[in-house]
Amino acid sequence: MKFDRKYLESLLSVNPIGNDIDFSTFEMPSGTNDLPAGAEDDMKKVGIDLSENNRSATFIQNNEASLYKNINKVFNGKLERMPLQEAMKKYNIDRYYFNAVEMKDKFTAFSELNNPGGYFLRVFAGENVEIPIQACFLISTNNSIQNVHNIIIIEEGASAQIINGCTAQYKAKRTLHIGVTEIYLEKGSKFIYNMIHNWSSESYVRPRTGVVLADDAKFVSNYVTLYPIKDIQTFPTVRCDGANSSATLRSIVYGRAKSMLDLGGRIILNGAGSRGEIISHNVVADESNNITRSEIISNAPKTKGHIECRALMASDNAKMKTIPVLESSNKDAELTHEASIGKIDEEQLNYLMSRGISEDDAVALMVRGFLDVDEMELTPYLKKSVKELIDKTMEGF
Amino acid sequence: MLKIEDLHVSVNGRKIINGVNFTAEDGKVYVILGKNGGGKTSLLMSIMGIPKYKIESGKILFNDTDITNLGVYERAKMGIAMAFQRPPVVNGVKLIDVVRNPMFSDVVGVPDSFFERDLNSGLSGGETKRSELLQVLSMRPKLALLDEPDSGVDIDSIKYILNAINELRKMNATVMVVTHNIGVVKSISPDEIVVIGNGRIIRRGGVDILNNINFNGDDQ
Repeated sequence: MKFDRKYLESLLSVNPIGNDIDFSTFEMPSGTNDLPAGAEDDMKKVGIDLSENNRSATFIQNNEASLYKNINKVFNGKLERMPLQEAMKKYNIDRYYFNAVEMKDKFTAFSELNNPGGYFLRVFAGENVEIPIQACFLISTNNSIQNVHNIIIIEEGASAQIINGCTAQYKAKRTLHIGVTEIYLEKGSKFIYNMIHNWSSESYVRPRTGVVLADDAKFVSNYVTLYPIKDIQTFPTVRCDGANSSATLRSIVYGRAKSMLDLGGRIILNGAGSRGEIISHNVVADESNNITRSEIISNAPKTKGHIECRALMASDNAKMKTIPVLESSNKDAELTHEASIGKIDEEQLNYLMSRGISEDDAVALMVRGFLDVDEMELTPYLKKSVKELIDKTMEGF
Repeated sequence: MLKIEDLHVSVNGRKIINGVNFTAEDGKVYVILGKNGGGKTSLLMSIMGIPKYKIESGKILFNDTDITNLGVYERAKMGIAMAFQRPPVVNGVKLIDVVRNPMFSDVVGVPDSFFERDLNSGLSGGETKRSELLQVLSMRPKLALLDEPDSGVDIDSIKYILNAINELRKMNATVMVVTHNIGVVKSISPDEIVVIGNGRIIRRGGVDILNNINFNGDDQ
């Protein structure tokens, strides 16, 4: 173990942001070796396609069990993927272990103390993996904790994209997902990280994500959450350490029911000429409570950063808070932010209604337009899937 | 048939239509002239039912139904359509989401690429007007309200505007066109010209009255 057990145990009471969660109210069941009934349909809702034709590699974790780790034959030799615990036996991965993610709170400590599941993914130098890799984290047991630690390495000059779909089955109403994900982009590599969440309205989710970029590397994160959730808090940190590296964090968030969505991200521009962009679009409905924390810190010359946070309020009982932070210790850094919280625009609404579109349909069209996925750098297949998900969400809006 | 009786309208508490009486017959084309701020756009917006234009008193009847208190959607469903002078940008909503029947794209010279663009986003003046006319045509309206479809457009676009009005004529729609362009008025060859000023109709007549008035509807 990289950390002293006493130190880890001392962190179990540290909860710097968000509502506290009592681990003792959950259990940690091991998963089964087969996919539970109904799992395929649940996984489709988060963009996971088990037919394999549209995916280069697949990893599925049910509760704590890794049960599926195929690699499409076409991609043999381009990448490797295995459960993290297996990779730790095979390789010395110390320098990737709790480096991009800091060990600093009760969730990272809990993960480390409880033999996490999760995957190790390495895309080999110079390889271009065009078809998305996919990973699914499925919780199938009620009152359970899923504990995950993923490490992703995109080697020099390689490019790839991943779809991470996270979902809880109907019977698994109350769950806690702890996910540590560390991503390393070597020189000149490119990685698109897509995350689609469909937890249950009683799910607690605590992802802890860190990304480190070398020179000329490019990282894009697309985060989509459209379904009610009990409580998620995440604040991924991207370190653009390399010169001319760039990171974009985009999110589409639809706050519904009594969801607590404390989301955002931080980009630290350490490399000369590095760039960062954080863009989030929130629709805030029902009694949802949305917080968007966005932070760009410039520590190097000729860096550029931009934060855009837009929210559409669709209910008087919902709450939206946006917290943009720009910080610079450099005289020629260029950092900007724009934030807006507004309601459905009456002029636009009447305009659509004058075309013979009912009020409900016009509002749904505008909300769908606000959750525009066209700006996201998605493959056509994934773009279509996400649009279909949004359409489904809009039914009965 | 459209019948307006002693209509008074205000916007944000300011009176802008002060007792308009007007009747438009089926299949006829009416050109509306008048100075800026005289009430032309307000009259069309009031007929369309845009809520910002508050009807203080009077009545609007459409095909013998009192529509004074109906909303914009109900009026659209009855066959009233409007080409707006300055339509709002609606990000993320595409022309294809609104136009279910793209068969009129040739009439107004709208290329296929328009359909995938966000509504009114990044369009030139002429493109905006053509997109508006396409939307109106695709509704196959009984009453078309065209608010300055020719302002700020190039010569080619004027050709398409005339095409659109001819198409509406073929549908036997009643058309009310607001314009400042006497050349366009002559090309349209309307059934009647109506001059509006200070929120009232101050003159009505055939095309021959163009010999006596200028593009603002003033005596010359």
